Parts: sequence; C-alpha cells; structure tokens
Amino acid sequence: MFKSIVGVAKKLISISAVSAYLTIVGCFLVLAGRIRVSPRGFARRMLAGLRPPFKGDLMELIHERGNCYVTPLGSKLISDSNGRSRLTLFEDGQALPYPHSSHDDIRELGAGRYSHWGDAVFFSSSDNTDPAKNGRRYSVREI
Amino acid sequence: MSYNGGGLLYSVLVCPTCKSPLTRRDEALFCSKDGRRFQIVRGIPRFVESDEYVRSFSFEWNTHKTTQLDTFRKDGSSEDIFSKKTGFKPEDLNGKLVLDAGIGAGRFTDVMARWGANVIGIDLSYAVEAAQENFRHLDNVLVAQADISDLPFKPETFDAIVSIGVLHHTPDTKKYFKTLVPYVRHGGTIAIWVYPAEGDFVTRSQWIPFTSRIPDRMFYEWCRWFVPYAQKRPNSLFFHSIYRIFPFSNQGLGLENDILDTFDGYSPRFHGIHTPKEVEGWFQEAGLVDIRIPGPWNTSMRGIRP
Repeated sequence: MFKSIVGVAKKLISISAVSAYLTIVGCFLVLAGRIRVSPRGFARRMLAGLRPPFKGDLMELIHERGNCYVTPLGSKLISDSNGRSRLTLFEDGQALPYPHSSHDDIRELGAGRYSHWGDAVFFSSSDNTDPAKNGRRYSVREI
Repeated sequence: MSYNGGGLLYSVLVCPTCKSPLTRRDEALFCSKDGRRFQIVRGIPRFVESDEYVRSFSFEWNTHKTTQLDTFRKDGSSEDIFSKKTGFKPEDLNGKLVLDAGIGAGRFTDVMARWGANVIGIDLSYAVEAAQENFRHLDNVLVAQADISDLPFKPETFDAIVSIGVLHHTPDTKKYFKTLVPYVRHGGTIAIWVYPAEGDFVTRSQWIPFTSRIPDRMFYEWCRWFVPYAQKRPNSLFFHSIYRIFPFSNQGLGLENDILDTFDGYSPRFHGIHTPKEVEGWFQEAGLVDIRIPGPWNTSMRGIRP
C-alpha cells in the first residue's frame, strides 16, 4: 500500500516536472520566434467565437497526391495552419474519422483522414475512392 | 544462392574493418585475419559496444516491441506504408537478400519476411533485443547490432536495402545514406524515407535539443499521461493551441501507437529534416539511376545501382 502511494507520488512529481520544463521551453521557442504563432491568427481565433459557425458543401475536388484530394473553401477560417480548425468534414452526412491529420498520413493512409489547412481542406474518402467520382456528398461544418 | 537461418548469417557477415570472413566459436565470431572477437549475446551478433546516440530507441522499442507489427496488430497498416514508401511488391523481394538498415522492433522486417525475403536487420540500438524476440522463430530473418557507418558485410552483398525513418536519426543523414549504397549489388535497389522539411517535422526539430535531454523514462511517463489526456478532449481550445506549438501524434492507429509515436518524435538526439530535392541530390551523387518517389510521401525515394 505504502509502496504504491510512493509510486503514484513519484509519477506525479515526474509528470509535473516534465510539464513544467516543456512549458518553459515552449514559451522560449514561441518568444524567440523559433515556433511561429501569428498574432493575426490569435485575433481570428478570438473573433471566431462571435460569428455563426461556417458550413457548406465541397464542390471543387482536386486530386493532390496518393489518397489526398484538396478543395478550396473560399472563406477565411481558423485552420490547422494558424490555430486549430473547428471544421468537421462529412461524407454523406457521416463525420469522417480523423481530423487534423498530417498531409503525409492523408496521402498515405487516407481512410477518411483530413486536414483543414490555410483556406483549403485536404482530405481522403472513407474507402480511398475518388471523391469526385464516388457519388457521395462532402460537406463541412464548424463545430 | 539459397539461405537458411544460421547459414545466412555466417555466409554474409564479415569483419566490419577488414571485410575478412568470420568463424564462429562458442558464443563469439572471430575475424579470420586478425582474430578480432565479436560476441554473440542472446543470439545476436554484436558489432558495437554501446547504443551511443540512439539510447531513446533502445528504450522505446523494448517498451513497444509489437505495437507497430502487422503480425501482432492483425492488420496491414505497416505493409501498406512499406509498399507506398518503397514501391516494393511481394514478388520484388521474394527470395531476395535484403538489408533493413535500422530494424527497430522490426515493423518492416515483419512485412518483408512475410513476403518471402531473406532479411538481415541491423540496428545500433538495443532495439535488436526486441527484434530478435519477434523473429527468433523465423529462418529467413537475422538480427545483428551494428552501426550503418561500419557494417559487417562485403560490398555488393544485398539485392535491396531499405531504411525507412532511420537515416535522419544519424549525425549526418546524407553521409550515412552514401555509406549504405556500396552494399547494394549492381542492379539492386535502395529505398529510403527521411523526415520532410515541412509541417510538424519542422516544429519538432525546434524542440529536439531540449526534449532529447529529458531522461527517457520520465518523458515516456509524460507521453503516457499527456497523449490520452489530450486525445480525450478533441474540441478543447487549449489543446488546439498546444498542438500548434507541440504537435503530438494522432495517426488513427490506436492509442499505444500514438504514445509511441509522440515519444519517438521528440526523444531522439538527431532529427534531420530534408527536402525532396535534397534527397534526390544524394541519390544522383551516389550514381544511382531510375530515381523516383514511389508513393505519396515526398521524401521517400528509391534508386537502382547501375
């Protein structure tokens, strides 16, 4: 019993110490400009809470590489390139499973992985078929 | 040439320094020229004395021995990745002698062994312990602990060399790549994948000088706590912001894979990032031909030694 309490305490101290260290390093990297966080992106994030959520169908589906297709949104939203996108992508009304995926994972693994990057959505269909030809409807909605 | 188990090992391994044949006596290999001794420990020939700069890999692969192996996952995720990163199909490697340079726990050796290749997997780290445990029952796989810069093979030994996600963890990606090339036979193929100089890989490269100093066990404990905690809060604005600064894994291949991948992304001492043009340049400088990107990964490349 005593041993397990000591074990848990040690673990908590270890996790807290690493968290504190990473916080300090993270602040340093941001303040030193080695990881870029744009003030404009921050303002957009704040304003995003005040406007109605964006929604719409994806119309122009362009093949990028591998399983990845790209479609421009035509609307300036917070994306994973300047924050964390709130966009959910739907295939025939069903939410696709993996938002915020890396573009290499979308190209390589596909299977419904997607990313909202800049003013475009990079995505793959749930079964890696061509979304421009599989007859399904693709839509997005901010959640 | 046909191979089987120990026969493969002893016909292919040579002294890394003078390239003379090795003879086995008890649990050691001896150079036939100068008598230099290489121990065999737990069935693994050892051509290095420590895990030098890859200590984090010794830890991670012995902690996650089977997390990424299709055989244990019961899926084909690694096979899919392997095919797309190398362009190899089963018939390309069936019966061929292949070097897996940086075997780790054996994620891709597992694929090649199933395809019928005779694979020698080497690694500088003690990940070889995990790999040996995973493949000790297979006649067509041999595991050795060795350094890419000092390989225990004669030049032109292998029909193919693959090195996926390894060379960027050496002190000099290009130099270590070029070291590998002479070991492919003429007409053989070398296929690699290295980190691209884009997206999360760039962000991680800024963290590496700091995170690689955290003791492995401490950082791993932290990943085990943080990754599930963050993943349970997919709509949290706080974690969205954290992700921007500290990208953590969410590959859709299970929580254990994401914990492993997050640790893997921040713990190594070296974390080279490269452009496709740069990688293509290495292949050209090495005199390789038919150079191409076989799949959707920009910095995966293969070439043939003419």
